Amino acid sequence: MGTLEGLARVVHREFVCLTILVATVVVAFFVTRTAASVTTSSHRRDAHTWYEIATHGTIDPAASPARITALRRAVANDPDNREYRLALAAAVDASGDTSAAQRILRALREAAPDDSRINLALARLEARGRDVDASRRDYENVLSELWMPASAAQRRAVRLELIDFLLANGDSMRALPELLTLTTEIPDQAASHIELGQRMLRAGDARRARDQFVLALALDPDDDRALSGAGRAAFALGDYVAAGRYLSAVPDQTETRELLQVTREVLARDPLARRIGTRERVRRVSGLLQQAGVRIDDCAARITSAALLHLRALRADADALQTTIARGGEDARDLSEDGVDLAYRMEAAADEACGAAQAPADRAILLIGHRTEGAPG
Amino acid sequence: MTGPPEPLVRLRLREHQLFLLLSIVIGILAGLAAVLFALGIDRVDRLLFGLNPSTIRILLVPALASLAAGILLTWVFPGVRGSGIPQTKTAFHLHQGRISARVPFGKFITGVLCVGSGHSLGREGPSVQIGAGMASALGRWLHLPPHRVKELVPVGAAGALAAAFNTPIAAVLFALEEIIGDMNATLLGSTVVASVASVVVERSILGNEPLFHVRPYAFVNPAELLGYAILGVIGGVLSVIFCRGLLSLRRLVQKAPQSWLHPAIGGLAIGAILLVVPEVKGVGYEYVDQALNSGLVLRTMATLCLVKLAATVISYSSGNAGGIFAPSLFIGAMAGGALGMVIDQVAPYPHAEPGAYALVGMGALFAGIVRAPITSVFMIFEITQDYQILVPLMVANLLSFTISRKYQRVPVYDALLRQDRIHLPRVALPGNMSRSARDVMRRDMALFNPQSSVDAALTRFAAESRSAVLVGTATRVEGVVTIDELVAASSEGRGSLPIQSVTDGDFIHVHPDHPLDLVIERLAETPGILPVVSREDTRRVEGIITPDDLALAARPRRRPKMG
Repeated sequence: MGTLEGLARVVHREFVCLTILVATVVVAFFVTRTAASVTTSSHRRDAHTWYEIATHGTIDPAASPARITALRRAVANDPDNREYRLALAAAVDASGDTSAAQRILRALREAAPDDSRINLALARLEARGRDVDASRRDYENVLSELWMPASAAQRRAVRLELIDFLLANGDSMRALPELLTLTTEIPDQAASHIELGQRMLRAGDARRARDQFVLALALDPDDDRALSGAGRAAFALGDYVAAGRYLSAVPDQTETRELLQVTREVLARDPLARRIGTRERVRRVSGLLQQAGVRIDDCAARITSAALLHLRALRADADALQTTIARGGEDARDLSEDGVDLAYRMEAAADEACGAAQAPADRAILLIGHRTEGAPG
Repeated sequence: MTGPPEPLVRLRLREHQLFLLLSIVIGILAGLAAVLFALGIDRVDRLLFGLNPSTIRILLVPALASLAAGILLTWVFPGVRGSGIPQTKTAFHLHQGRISARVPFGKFITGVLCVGSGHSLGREGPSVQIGAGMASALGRWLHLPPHRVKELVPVGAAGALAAAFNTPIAAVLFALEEIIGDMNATLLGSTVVASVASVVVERSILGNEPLFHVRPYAFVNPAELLGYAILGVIGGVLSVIFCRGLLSLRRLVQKAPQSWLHPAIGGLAIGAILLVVPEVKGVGYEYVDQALNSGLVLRTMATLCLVKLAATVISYSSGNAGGIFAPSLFIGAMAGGALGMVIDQVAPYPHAEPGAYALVGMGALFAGIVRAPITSVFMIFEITQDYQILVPLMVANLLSFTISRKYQRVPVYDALLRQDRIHLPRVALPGNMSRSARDVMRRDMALFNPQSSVDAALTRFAAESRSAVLVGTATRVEGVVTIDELVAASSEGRGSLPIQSVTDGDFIHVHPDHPLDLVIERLAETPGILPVVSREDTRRVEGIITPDDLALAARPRRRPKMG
């Protein structure tokens, strides 16, 4: 006080007081800032400890309430740490409360809208909840966030996840553009081409699927997944010669045996195939009608409905055509087309009355007829 | 020895310049104090509980810390119990803004101890008292005139609150609405300056982070107003339950002996609660944040709403140091969040997330308990910075405020002061208004000894031919008794009982600053004698007013003769 009064003799007391006040403010500011910094650091340490306890610590992963509590404490101590909030959302989701987990993630996204981990976690939750539009939107957000070249692998994995989700929900229309984008992103490796080809096949784009499998086979000619995929794609495209070639080359025939049998039946029974003689063509027509007739008889014996009349009428038509074939003199090409058409109608009627055909020969007739139906002229 | 250099000594600031400069400095200091207070609470919490406290520690820490706080509050810092806002209002309205320099220190220490030891109390009320106390002490240190010292009290309060909440506008409004009690007060400029200075400092230390991380909620559908209206009603009902519970328990506790022990008993109860529901510990903003982000489930929020209400009533009523701002926000957020969850499950129309209801619930409870509806609206607006939430917020606030005012007529801070026998004026009365009770009251008054018998009093009544008299002493008046009451008591065979037994202690009175029209109105309700009692202690009588005194006062004053 003595100093203050002494100074007050030179300048007015209020200036002295204000100077002391300003000095106090400056000191108090730095003291407070240091205290705040120390507190923030210790909060972060505590948060990390709780996070460690929850994720790698002694808490049993099945004990979800304890994990959630630990993670909530971690979040409360360090609210800005996204890792902790993501872990909390995952723990809450694991406890069965998906909507609470979604709310945590949405709140987190408000703070960090460009964080691909948050959008991916949200997309996965929404995918599980069958919210197709929201999930697709979030997946697309993730893809737009992973634009850096360094994130190419991650971007590819997310796009594959999105494609799988879209295909699982029957949305091939949206899956196809993603697949096309993926063709430019995948590395030139057999496995990548195969993954892409399989999804293209599921999306209904057999032509591009075959291209991918062919690329894979160029890199690894013996890859059975590539051979099988190429066979399936060729089969879907109606290229049974190629399908037969690829499918025959698959070492393990467990999954492709049936398809190969159908392919072989098509190749062996098609009367409209190129480079076969007139006699063989007629023989094949007769064989088709005979096979279809057996199926009609078998089906007719099992049903009593009004369809029976239709089946009998078709059977009579087949018998009449067989008589015509036996008599000879008809143009083989016309006979083949009529025969294929009639055999197809017989198989389709049997399908409708008695269920889908099982025998490879019957399925082959349907495929031959279907191809002829779709053919020009 | 030579004299001082005259020009330098003469150089000084004008009063309003000094006041403005001081407002900035006080704003900064109050902001720093509020931040340090919050950090102190955090530090003590860590120190006392650690990372993962044992059961016995949870049970005993609040009790032992409150025991120490109780001793300090009783013998070292007697004026710092509770929130601090009622004391600040008292200082502003009744003591010309004079707050002892010990108060901010005492409040800091006891507040940190009580809130840090787990009591379900807030830090904003104590921050307000600390800021106001610092402002008052600095004003007096700088030899400011008394009216300027008084004006610094809301300045310090606004600065502290702005930093505590990170809401500068709401802090200014709170100072005007609650501390001054007049939204048209001329102190707007200096409170704004202090508030801004405080927030700038606070943000430079803690970063530009809001108190709560809130998503931008939208007002999705007009049908939602129904839900918000229900929330307003729930908020109002909870506010009334909270205020009545708090006041009833506090009244009960005040009657108990050994006031230094009360906080420790409250602490023991809080320890027991914390064993079951640890989430209600301390300020609890981390859980409010989770409710605002729809991160808690319905059952948790409903439980926390009710347990927090009970815990806060216990903590505050037992005389610990801490505020009710934060608990009211906590209870409101949980009530709103729980209702939001229910609406989320049953509403057939598009609606906002439960977090939006938690946000509006905060405002509704604040408006209902603190009775500062404008502050409440702006505070939520400052937290969210979203105009869309304002419409539902205003609907809920209005309903909550109306219900609370209907069933709890006296606002909680005023009611707490009345329990301490302090009556505040409704608004700050200008000093030169028309004549007041002080001008017409008579200071020479006859008081009947409360121990004298009813029969003796009757005899004296007959001798002095009065219709009613005051019973008690000048420092402790017991009430007013009429001759009819004495005759009735005597005829019932209670003539030998002390006269005190006839009075009920609750009598009509006025304060010295009450205007004459109110005096006339109140005098008409009395048997002819109207006590004028101190605002600081309604048991202390300063004078009386009778119809004769009024008639005397109504006579025209004699003008001095000219020339």
